[in-house]
Amino acid sequence: MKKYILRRILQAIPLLWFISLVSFALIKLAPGDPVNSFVTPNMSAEDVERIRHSLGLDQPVYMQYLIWLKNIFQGDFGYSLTTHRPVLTMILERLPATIGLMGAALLLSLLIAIPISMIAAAKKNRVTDRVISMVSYIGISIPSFWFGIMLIYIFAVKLHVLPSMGMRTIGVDSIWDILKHGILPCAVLTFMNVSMYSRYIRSQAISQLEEDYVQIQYAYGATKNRVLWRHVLKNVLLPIITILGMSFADLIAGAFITETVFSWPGMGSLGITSIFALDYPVIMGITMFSSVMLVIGNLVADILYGVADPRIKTMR
Amino acid sequence: MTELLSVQNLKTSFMTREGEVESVRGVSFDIQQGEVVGIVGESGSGKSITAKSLLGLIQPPGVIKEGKVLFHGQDLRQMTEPQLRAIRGNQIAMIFQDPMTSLNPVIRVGAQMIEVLRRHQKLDKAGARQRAIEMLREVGIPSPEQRIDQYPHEFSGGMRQRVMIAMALSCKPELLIADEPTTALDVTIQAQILNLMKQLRDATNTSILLITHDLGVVAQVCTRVIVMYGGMIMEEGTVEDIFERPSHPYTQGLLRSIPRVKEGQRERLVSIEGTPPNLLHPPTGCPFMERCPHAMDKCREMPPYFVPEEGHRSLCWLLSSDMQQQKREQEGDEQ
Amino acid sequence: MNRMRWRNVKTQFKEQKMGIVALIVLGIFIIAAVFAFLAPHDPNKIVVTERLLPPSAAHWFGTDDNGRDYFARALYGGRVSLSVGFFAMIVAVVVGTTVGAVSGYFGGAMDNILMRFVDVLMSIPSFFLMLILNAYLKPGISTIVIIIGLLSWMSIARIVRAETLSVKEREYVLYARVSGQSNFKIITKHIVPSILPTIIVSATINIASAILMESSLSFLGLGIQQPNSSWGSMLNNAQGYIGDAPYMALFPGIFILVTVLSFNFLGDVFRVAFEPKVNRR
Repeated sequence: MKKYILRRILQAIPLLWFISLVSFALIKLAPGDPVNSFVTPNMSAEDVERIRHSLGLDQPVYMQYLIWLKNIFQGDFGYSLTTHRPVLTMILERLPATIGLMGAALLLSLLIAIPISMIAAAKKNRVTDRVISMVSYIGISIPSFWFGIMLIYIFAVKLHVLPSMGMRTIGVDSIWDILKHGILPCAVLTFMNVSMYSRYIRSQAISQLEEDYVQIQYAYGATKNRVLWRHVLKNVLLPIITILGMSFADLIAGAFITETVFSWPGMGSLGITSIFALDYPVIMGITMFSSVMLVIGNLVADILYGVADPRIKTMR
Repeated sequence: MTELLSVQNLKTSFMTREGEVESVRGVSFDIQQGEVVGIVGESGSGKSITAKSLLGLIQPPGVIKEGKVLFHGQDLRQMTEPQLRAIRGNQIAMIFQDPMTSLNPVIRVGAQMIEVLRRHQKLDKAGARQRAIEMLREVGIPSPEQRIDQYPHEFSGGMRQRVMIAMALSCKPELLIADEPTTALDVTIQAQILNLMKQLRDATNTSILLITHDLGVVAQVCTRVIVMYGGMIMEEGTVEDIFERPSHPYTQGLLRSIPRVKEGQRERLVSIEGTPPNLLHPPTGCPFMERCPHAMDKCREMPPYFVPEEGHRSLCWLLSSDMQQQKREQEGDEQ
Repeated sequence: MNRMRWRNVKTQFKEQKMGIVALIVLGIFIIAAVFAFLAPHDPNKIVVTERLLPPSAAHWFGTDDNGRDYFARALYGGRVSLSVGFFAMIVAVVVGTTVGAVSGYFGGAMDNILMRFVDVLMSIPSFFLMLILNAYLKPGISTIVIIIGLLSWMSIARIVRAETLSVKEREYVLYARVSGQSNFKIITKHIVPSILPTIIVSATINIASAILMESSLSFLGLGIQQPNSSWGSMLNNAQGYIGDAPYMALFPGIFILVTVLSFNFLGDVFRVAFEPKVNRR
């Protein structure tokens, strides 16, 4: 088991290295000369060269990469071209909002997706199942931003019951206020996730229901509910962990778009603004952060799977 | 001996897109207390469906269309779901073909046994666990105290089938339905499991209904044999009746297809030519007609059961008094 | 591809009424996109006096914030959305099939390297990368097609590889190898045709996700740029007028939803038809 975890962690290392290459390339390939943002009209050519030297830009590319890597390890992600603040600080300020939104949506999605898709599987091809299937079809086909706009129209513009943007009302400092702001963006993310997960969980549960051990359970006097909620559920929960890991990329993309629609002050909306401003250090920082989040998400999912599945756990 | 189970005119069909597949077409038989009855047939003969129908375990699109399943004289088909559940795994237990898939892979073996014990017996957790360990020991699983907390994948196929038997017998059932219990196992393990079943039967006087396609298995453990084909019983009799005086051409064909080792040389395997009937549109006459070497015009009509001797019946026109008369005359001519 | 599979497709369409509906809807959208020039108004003609008019007989879908006819814009927008989806799918299918087939057919080190590469690509947040690339590169329809295509072929490669692994052991492929046909010929003449059903399923689903991605990129303002428009870019400024002109957000969104939904339905109909195992699920 320890070996399994260790191996999984080691496997993540080349991935992280590749991510660092991509991130570095993002900065190097950025159009324009990075020195320009430090140049003021009254500087001489030597001044410009001095800045170039102080930034390490006169060195060969691989040296620049190594220096850059060293800086990253020391937590130095550079400075924003627009705000001139440290990139790391800017991202860390925004991270809680993103993680809070994503985490809440993830948790809610599982709490909704698991029961409804188990019920759909148990009532395969009946009305309940067809309704759930149809709704999840819509969920995977609806553009998330449009769904967000529609929710804003209904709940903020027409009904005036929920705020349409931001995370707080200015001058109000309460958890309730943040929750109220979070309802709509969370609803968008949850709907998308539930649709994606439930299709998967349903088909998993249906194939589990055809397994011999289900027949055996009936033959030993178990009720339908007992079989579904104990025996089948236990088997379905395992693959859910995998699909969670796999859906992480979509979750991050969804969070970026949703944050923008609702002006949610998270990493995603920071990313979009920095792309428009061509603020390369911030773009690079966010790329790294979201990639690392993805890698860690997958890693955690794999390790959880190993811990949860007795077939892997007992492999020493 | 008293009658434990009586099946009367059981019919089970599957409603497919193409139409109704009549898998079991009117099957009747009895099982006495302490008896070991074998149902033999090829795959698709309806033997497994018959077994599952007894406990009402047929899932849609399957439907039990008619018939009675009398257990201690009470019709299981008239019972409510809760009444049936109280019998399943308790008075009537079942084991299936593939021990690799019969147990839930993510739940400990002991927990699965305890679940059944606590459902049917008024036992507390510790008591149920104790009983489960005893049962595992009884079926020959070494160090059951440790094994009980292991997962199914930590057991070999044979060991898993032993676990299944332990689970099946844990509530001291009166009838054990074993659906191809040894088919998925190695030959040596097969013999062990069959021996175990025989021993347990002798010790507990549990009746066994053994479903198999292997006449060798039947010969080893059964007292009475039912031969099924095309969803119907072709022939029924004691093991001696069936093996020494088979009266149905299908049974005769089956017996010829058993490989035998004779004087160090393997006899050539004779299989019955042709394929089983299509049960989507089953023939109105004898289902075996298409493949039967003795087929005649009369076979287009469904034969009744003829009784060549007591306790022995056969669904074949060859046993009609006319045909027997003819046969005797022919034999007379030859002399 | 054998005839039986196609017969399955036909029966499947007969059974799944939604499949037929999806086909009809897509047919209408494609025809509308092709004949967009028949629209009664010029999609780019700005009429300052006719800003934000609600739907009427003259302007079926109303007018936008520049007084342009929204119906005409929706027709041309559909043209862009559908073609970006289609061509991005072609790019993804070509790359994915090539990588998958080569990886599965040759196996060994080649397989290892290619599949590791796929793993790596799948574990970076590709959507953010698309945004960045769009910002870096010269925006345009072909840029978007290539970016979406090049960042969404990985799952196709995985599926094609798995299929290739099983197909390459079949007799006719083994025979072709023994009789000395070139690897290229074996892959193009034997392997790819026999896994075509799988490719078709993936391609159909891929169009759906490509259209969704394009619409997201364009909505964020990093996709299709003025004067061109797609359904996604039409939504870009609709959010600002959601109070005054909700129809501006309504129409393009519904078109995207219905189109993507139809492709997803179609993909599932194909899947069930081609893989009898998943029948009735």
